[in-house]
Amino acid sequence: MNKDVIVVENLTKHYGSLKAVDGISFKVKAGEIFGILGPNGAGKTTTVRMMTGVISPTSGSVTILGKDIREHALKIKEQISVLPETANVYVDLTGQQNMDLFGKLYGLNNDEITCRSRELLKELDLYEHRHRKARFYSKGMKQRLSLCVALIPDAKVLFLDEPNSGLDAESSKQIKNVISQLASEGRTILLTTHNMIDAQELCTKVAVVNQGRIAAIDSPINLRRTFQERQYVIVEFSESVSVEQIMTLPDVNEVRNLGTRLQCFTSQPGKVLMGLVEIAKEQDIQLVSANTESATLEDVFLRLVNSKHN
Amino acid sequence: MEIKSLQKVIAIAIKDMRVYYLKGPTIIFGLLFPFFFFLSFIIGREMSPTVLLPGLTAMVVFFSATAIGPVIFPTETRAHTLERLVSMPIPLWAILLGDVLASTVFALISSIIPIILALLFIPVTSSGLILTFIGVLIGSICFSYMGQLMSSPPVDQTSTIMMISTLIKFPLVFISGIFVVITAMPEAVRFIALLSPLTYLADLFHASFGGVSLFDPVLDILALSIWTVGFVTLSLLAHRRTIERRL
Repeated sequence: MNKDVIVVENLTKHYGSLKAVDGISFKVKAGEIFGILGPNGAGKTTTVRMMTGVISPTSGSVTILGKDIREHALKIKEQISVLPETANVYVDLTGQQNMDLFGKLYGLNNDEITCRSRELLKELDLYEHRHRKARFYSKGMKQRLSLCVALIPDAKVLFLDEPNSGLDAESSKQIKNVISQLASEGRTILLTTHNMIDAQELCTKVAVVNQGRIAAIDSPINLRRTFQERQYVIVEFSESVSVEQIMTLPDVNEVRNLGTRLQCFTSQPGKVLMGLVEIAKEQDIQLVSANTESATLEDVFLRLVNSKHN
Repeated sequence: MEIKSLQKVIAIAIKDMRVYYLKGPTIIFGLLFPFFFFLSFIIGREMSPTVLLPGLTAMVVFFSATAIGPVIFPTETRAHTLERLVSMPIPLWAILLGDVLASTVFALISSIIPIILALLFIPVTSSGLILTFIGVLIGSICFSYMGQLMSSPPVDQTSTIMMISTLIKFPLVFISGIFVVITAMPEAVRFIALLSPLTYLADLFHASFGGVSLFDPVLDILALSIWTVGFVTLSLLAHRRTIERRL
């Protein structure tokens, strides 16, 4: 059985009267990609900052690799890699100089830095640009360099705070590939994101965070299953059918008008589909298309966040 | 200090040298400012090099050592590079020491010109030369920490810190025997001068360049050492207190 690499217990951070993080608890097992998913201002970054020893918690504890972060911050920092959300590389230094600086700060020797830099810069398509100042890199290149810097110590535990934020599709794909590869090599990764697709594609477990609290925590597939009623059928008829008429079908919870199509939320998509066929027959119109979909993580997320707000 | 910690301190210092030595505020406040300030004072006056050069040297050390400290923290806060440093396995004192090392080297390099001028115009003895080097070194360290202390308010605008540092630095220049020898100052001002660390550096240079000094050089060095310990402690405490608010 995999042991717990990260244990967070009742973690709280107050800024005056504001509770940025309010009693968060979870565990991350070795080899997991654990996602913290939440809207902007949910407390994701504050949580990561406390977990990585950048800021002190108001109360609660974080244990990484069996050591408490408050008592052994430096020892833990030597064994983890951090990609902070807003943190940047030094734009007045070249890509290679950034790698050298952070390699030294991680305590690597020159040979290790040279070897790791070459490997990482090549993997993220920056090797040819390593002698250019980072000021002249595109945003995607800077973010890839930032990831290279974070990965230089070859740590077994990684904290990646919004690694894909604001990136173009190509850079985002490259970074996701690297994260998947790191996970397949047995590293434990804690990833924060507000991107549902990233969380769904990458994470083995997800904590949905809102207003500083965990709203739900499970694997993406289980979270989606929990919300059976958020399955839906998207249907298109040859002529218009009113939302009220669809709502008369049993098991339809909600209907949304999507232009020429209708989205019917239900926990029984098969039954609803048959009902839709009956409507088409009764009105002598054609059922042009009908697709059933299970709830996406985005549906789950929006549902959780809205229910908390309400 | 462990060798690995020392390597990390040097890595921070090299980063600072590459990034901050050529920044506008560093050049303006560290090099151009003391030069023009001094020029405006000496033009039209007949003063001997023995009176002028100790003041010039002290002023160059003072301004150049306090030029980089106020630039680093606001810039790194604004550029979000500070959070990255804080997430590294390096303690805050080592980050501060690395910054001070870069600042000290900048002051040492800047002070070469007034020292060469002194050697050209004043018959400095070998013991005077040793005292000068000690003074430049300890003054550079002392004022580097002072500059760093001034950058502790958690703001991300260099101009804000520069304003604070100018408010502190200007009065010090006028009361510390840079332009007027302390012995020639009125008694009340002389008392205030004793509260300025720059007084002891200027006085040390007056002694080492063969001029009239108020204190024994050993006392000047001791006073500068005490001020240095004070600035090191205050800088660490102040930055430890404000660093979270910068992130």
